[in-house]
Amino acid sequence: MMSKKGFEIQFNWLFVLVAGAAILLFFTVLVVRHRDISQTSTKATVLKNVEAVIAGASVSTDTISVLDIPNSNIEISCNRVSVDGVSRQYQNLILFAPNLIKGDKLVTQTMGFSIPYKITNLLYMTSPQIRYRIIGNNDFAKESNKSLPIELKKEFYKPISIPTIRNLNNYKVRFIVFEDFDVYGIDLTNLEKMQDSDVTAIKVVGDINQGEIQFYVKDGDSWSQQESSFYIGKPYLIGAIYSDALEDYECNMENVFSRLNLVTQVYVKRTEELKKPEELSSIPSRQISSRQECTDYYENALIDLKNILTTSSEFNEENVNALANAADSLLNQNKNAQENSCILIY
Amino acid sequence: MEILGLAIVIVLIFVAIIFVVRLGFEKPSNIRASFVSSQLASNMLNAFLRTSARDDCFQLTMTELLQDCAQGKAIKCNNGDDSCKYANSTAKEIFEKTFDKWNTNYEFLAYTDIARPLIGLGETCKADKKSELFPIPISSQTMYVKLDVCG
Amino acid sequence: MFSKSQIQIGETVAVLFVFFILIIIGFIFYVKVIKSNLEVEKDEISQIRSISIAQRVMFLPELQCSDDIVKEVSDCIDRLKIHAAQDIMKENEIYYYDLFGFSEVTIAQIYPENKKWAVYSRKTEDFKNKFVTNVPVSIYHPMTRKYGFGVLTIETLS
Repeated sequence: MMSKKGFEIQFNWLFVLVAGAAILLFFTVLVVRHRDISQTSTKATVLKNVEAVIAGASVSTDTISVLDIPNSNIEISCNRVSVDGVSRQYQNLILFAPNLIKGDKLVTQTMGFSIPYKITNLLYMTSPQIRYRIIGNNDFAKESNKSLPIELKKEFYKPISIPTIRNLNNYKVRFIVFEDFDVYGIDLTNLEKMQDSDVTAIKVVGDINQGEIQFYVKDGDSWSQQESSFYIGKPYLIGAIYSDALEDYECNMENVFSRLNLVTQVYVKRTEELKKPEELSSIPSRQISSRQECTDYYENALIDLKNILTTSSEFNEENVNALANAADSLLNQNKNAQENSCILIY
Repeated sequence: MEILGLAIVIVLIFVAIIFVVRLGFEKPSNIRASFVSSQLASNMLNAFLRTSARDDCFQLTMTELLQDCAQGKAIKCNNGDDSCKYANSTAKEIFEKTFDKWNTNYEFLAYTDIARPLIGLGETCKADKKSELFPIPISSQTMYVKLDVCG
Repeated sequence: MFSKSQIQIGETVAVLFVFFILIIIGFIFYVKVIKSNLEVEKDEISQIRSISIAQRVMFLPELQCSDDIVKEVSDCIDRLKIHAAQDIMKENEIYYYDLFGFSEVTIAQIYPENKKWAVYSRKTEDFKNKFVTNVPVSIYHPMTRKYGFGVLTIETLS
């Protein structure tokens, strides 16, 4: 039979255990809840920083910056930015980036896009943990390499002297190939263990003004060619370098074209105002050299602007070519207007 | 014994409260005010200097009028004012419709010698200010246009 | 009459009870601090948003001066673009709502003549914060190649 004392001691220990467990459970639940809240708050802070970068892109042109952020996984897709489940949707997001940015640093770059008048700033974003390998020998390849920030993990090789690529534990590798170099000539033996979608390539066929971009993705130890797309000007090509998926690149291009359409509408109405005889007649004759000459330039410019308006309705090869021609023609009309002291078209 | 334990707990809680009060409360942010005042001074001065006068002063820019003001006041506007007076009255008109309307204190000076400004409007800022200085080249030296936005 | 052990258990229970009361008081205080910090953060986010919208308007190609001589002056608005921009923003409300949210953008020329244009307006009755940003700008008239003085006002609601 248990003594009274023994029973008391046992009951005391039982009581301590129960009470202690209750207190520990309470504090554990509190700590776990607080940790979850903190993590969500951190993700929201990172998303807020990315939103601020996107908003600030409209202001700064041709800038490069490296941001320190909490270690995060930022997923970027068409009109959507997401940080570990916390996401923000946009109507018309222009952000060229790989579909996943990992790590505690964010490299951002902006470049103004004009065709020939300023349309918007293109924003590029990536991680310094992604490896970029540029292969080319012409001036365009060198120019593109110079345009990429030095903060990126980038390598530039001429086609005759490419060392075999080694696996340096980068979570993504991107090849950018110029000229006649064959993408299938890139040896992927050392990258075989990487996931196919993490090793991608583009082949650039064209010059600094316009051309075609062929998208490739790793398929085992070889390549699989996806559909091709197009670029018009260096800023677009830089966008294709940053985007590792064709769909994301084309989504951004569609958004740029939407922007182009709206800005062009403004210029069309502006040029129609310039063309109005009553507007021109109100100006003292010393201000404009010859009314008829200027009106001719505005007429031609309106044709070019309306062509740009039409071609900006959809992003495809035909429209890209037509857009380049219309932009060139408009550039000449504006130059002529300037040389003849007419009011500039843009 | 228990009372002692309780006392220790209460002391710990008070220490924690003091700690939280000192470091836990975030100060309200003034980020927007900082942005507004930083762009206000530079934009105001740039826009003002670029502004063209009315027809009664031949649509000359404020920069041109200020240059003439510092170089002998050769320009006589159709309303009888010289370049200094015209630039002064234009600046006054603009700042009345902007700074005075927004209850923002400012000081505007145009000078070659800061001790004897050619144009002076507003009052010297007593505390924080955002300043913008614009040099304008003239024949013998440089004149300066300075705008301080207080706050 | 209570036994000694019953008194002791009662004491222990009382201590635990008081202990938990103190914890709850501390927790309530902590929650109040967090709430107050969240309000400050919310206000900061509203302010940042207001700045973003103001910057977007200030650098909008639909309004900004674009001149080969004066390349894309940031604090300059092209007079000839204003009417066109008004029409286009009205026709593409959803697009510009994504850029500007609930806000009102007006351009007022104050020198040499007074003129006012309402470029964008989307208001809501349900707002907590209202920020007004006034940006002095030049208003460029391409016909005369002269600059007027104006104010770009961006009123954001959040």
